[in-house]
Amino acid sequence: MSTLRSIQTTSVLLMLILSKLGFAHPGDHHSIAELNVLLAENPGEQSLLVARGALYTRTGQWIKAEQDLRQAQIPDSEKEVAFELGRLYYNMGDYLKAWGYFDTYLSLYPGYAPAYLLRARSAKELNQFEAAIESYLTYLDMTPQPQPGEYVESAQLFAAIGNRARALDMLDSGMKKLGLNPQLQRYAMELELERGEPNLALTRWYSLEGYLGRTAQWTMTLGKLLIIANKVEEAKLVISKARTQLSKQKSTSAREAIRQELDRLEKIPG
Amino acid sequence: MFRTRLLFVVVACVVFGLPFSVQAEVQLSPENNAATGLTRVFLQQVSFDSAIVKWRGEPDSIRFGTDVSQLDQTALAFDEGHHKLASLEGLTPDTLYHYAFADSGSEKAIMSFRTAPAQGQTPADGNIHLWLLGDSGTATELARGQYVHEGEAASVMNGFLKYNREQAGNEPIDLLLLLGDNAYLEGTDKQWQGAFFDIYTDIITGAATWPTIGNHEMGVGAPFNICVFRKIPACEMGPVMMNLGGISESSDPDSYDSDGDGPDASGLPYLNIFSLPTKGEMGGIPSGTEQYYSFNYGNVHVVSLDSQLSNRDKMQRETMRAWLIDDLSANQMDWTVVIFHHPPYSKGENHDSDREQNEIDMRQSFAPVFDSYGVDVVYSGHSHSYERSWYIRDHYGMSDTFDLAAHAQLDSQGQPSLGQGSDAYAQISSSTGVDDRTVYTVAGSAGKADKENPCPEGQLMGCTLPDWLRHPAHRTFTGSKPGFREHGIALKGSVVLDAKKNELTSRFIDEHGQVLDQFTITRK
Repeated sequence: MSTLRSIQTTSVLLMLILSKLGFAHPGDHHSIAELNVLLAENPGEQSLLVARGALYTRTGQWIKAEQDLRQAQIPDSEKEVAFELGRLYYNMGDYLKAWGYFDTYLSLYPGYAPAYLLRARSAKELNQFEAAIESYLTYLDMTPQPQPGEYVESAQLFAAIGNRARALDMLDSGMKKLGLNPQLQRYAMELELERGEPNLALTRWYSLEGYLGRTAQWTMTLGKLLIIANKVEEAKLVISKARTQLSKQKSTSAREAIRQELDRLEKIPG
Repeated sequence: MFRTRLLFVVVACVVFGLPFSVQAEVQLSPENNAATGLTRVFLQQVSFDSAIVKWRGEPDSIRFGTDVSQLDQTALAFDEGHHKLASLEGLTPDTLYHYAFADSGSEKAIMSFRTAPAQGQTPADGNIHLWLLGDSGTATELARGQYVHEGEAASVMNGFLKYNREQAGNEPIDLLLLLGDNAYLEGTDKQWQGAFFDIYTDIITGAATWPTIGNHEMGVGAPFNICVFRKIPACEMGPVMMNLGGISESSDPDSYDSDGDGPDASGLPYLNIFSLPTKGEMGGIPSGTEQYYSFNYGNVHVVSLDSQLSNRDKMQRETMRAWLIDDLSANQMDWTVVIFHHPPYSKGENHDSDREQNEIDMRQSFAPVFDSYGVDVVYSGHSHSYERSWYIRDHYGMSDTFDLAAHAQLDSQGQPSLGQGSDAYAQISSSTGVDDRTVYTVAGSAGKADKENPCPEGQLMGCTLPDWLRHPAHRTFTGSKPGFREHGIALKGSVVLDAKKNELTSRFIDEHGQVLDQFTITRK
């Protein structure tokens, strides 16, 4: 399995072996060019075909990728190529086919976490959210150090089936593990708004004040939340504070955009 | 069986001159971790009021204080990632502290460091002195059974020290920034020892090290049948599998594999070795991961992005980008420095930012953020040479779309400005009134430098293509000095960055201590 698990790197590896000067790792186009030469010298070599197929997938050359990966499906080891075929069809947007190949691969290698992740993403694209959640949770269980984005992505799956409470649970469990995190808390704030809880959204936003409170961005967002919560007078004060904060900070393009947004907010009647 | 095959590979590589590295290595165990003397003493997270000291060996505590003759405070250590870690709390800003090991048997020399200035402030000497090392980890790089770059990283360090003595008043380093690939070829713990701890021993006890993940920190790729390239005798017995470092394309640190036999139970050495802020404890915004983080040091804000792992997965990349926007929005320091391994603009040997997806992603996803949120300087490695951009903005495409008039700051003569002398770059643009330009530096030659070796027809790798060191976003070099190319320098060296209140100066120092390039950004 280990050969195919990282087979996508193989073409790069080939370059390294060929290199007389040492170790380097070329871009995909360089790698494909060299693989063409190697395959001419070693026609039908499965690992070379899979490597080139994976690179064709990554560079969006679907037909060539499919040809290579199909040719690499030698008898008795067809399933070995299933992960790369799944990834090809996932990237092509044929999520049903991709899902099938990930299932096939997982039947052979049930301990391979990346296949669960891509299976979850395939299912998500097909609006099969329950299946996506199941696969994603398996992936998270197998991952000792989930990244912040993975908690967000799993929460998005729960939100997609209308289960915002579970989505918030995912985010909160992430913050329990990682610590208070603006990326997770920002999404949690949005979910609170979606479920009609502007005051809970405000609470979550206030929790970030220690980190972001000096920024006009945070203060402006607070103003918007207060408007949503029908606290317009308070919002006006906050928007005024954001403008003051802005005046004390170095001018950047991003801060200029905030200035324009503040102009717009100040014109809101109330 | 695999180990037997690996032995064949090693023998074959020695005999047939193929590059390889020693993969099989004793994994750390509690037994050998607890053994013998004091090693690997280094500083982490030195702030204005705290610092971390890490080491290996018997001592369970350190003594520290401001009076070198009376180290009257003690910090107890705990175990973390196969190291001992002691936190020194309640320190005074911009103050020299001394420390030694309380129970090391034979007394280890007393070591010293200075705490950071208060946040937003400059130190008493008016300057924060940063040293940046890209791709310095070659001391452990084996090929043909030989250490092929032995002494080269040390030579670059000696060049820096000579410069520092002769031209910088021997100013102590405040921060050591690593630009990735600092332990070849697989980033194993043993390679970190040989390529980093054994070389920079005296520096890392006096200044905190801040790293970023390079491709050579992430172990090996898949074992591959070498017989498709060369029919060595071992091939008669069947496929001969070989592993190489630096080519993992995983986005998962838990997939770290030092030798090709599956993920290492001990995890990614980079993450075991370094203790990095994840919760905003050093002044940045919490990232929730050690793979990317930020911190403040005096009036400088430093961001370390992860172009090796997080960048590979779209969701993780978007989350890192959102974090970066929050972090830079909250940043109010005078200067902003960003480091990551894969350069957004480079025409290095084998590393072309028009071709490598990691480099393209970093340029397309992050360069617009740098422009919009006031990043001053970006440093990367990966290409084993030196390239430094003009003062640029708004360029996110391929190299052939770079247009000097549109993207670079021009001087009064309509020429791109070098940022030197009276033409120092202004942080706030006189034309737009905002801070929207950045200088990108590729400094991956702190352990080896690529040499000109024109590619024969049809060969793309292991040789230099005609556009080598000719990325138009990078400044031009005139004349015909050895190692100088049209848009870069193929010589070993490192970067020194000096941050004063109103002036930021970056210098490329070669192994002889000479300054080969420099630029300055000023602020009002």
